[in-house]
Amino acid sequence: MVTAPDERALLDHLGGGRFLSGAAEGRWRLISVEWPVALIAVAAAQRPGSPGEFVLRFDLGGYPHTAPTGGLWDLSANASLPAERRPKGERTAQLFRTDAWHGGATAMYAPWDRKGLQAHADWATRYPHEAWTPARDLSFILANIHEVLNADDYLGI
Amino acid sequence: MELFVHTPENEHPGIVEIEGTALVRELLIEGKPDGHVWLEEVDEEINLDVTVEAAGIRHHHHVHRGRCHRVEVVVRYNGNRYEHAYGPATTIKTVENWAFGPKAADLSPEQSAKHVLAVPGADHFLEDGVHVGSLVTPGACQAVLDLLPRSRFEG
Repeated sequence: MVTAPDERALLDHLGGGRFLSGAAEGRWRLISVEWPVALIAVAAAQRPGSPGEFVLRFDLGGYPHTAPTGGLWDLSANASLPAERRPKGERTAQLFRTDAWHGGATAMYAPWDRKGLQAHADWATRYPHEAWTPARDLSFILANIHEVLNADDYLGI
Repeated sequence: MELFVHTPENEHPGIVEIEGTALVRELLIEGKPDGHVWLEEVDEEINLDVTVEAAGIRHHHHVHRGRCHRVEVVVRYNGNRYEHAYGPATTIKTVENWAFGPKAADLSPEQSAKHVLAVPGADHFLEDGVHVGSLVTPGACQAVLDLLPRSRFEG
């Protein structure tokens, strides 16, 4: 079976030093890839009554030319993570919004997310340090999520 | 064992498989015998003629391969310049602790959480694990960094 270019690009990145060093340090762990969906858990700082990681469900069709989109996922229910179990904190709550913005519960409110970019035509130029480009890889997004979930302003769930 | 090897050419490490009984020298690029090797966050270079195991290098350790023994880090913030010399295998996390602290920009904890370092003109912020030796400008052992506010996405 021939692997499509987008899936092959992702697998190359998942086998690279950037992704594997993050995994070796416990920043994130790959759960599964069932193209075009990848489930990856990202570690979060310890907070009382809160999980040590959150699972992200990414849609990676067209990767890396098309930006990934991803949202918090409940593995046991195989559904989007309910609002009451989502991470809280100034930047965390903004990234994983629970209101009815364009991306709903399935995308991140960030310029590295496909739906975030589609909803905000100016974000690519307004936030060049964080906006997705085809030169980036999924570890760029994982590193940004990990930073937010381990910052002082992350409050747990 | 697998090692994560950082170099001046790339912010992110490559993976190298090497036996614990091999000499550290084997981590150098063939044809570039003037290189040196450091363990992450250790200023003293590793003796190239001891084995990887004897050097204290273990599976999934991060090492740095390069030629700069010290990197002069210049951080620019609000019109000021702060300078500090580091070993090449020093991580950005360590540099941030100094750059945000009282000996440099003197940010409060709240301000620190909202700032980050970046190479001038780069399209990304620097991640914690990047080695300063990976940021040196060609032909020099210096890294110039800007201390910038993180974005708050709006719209």
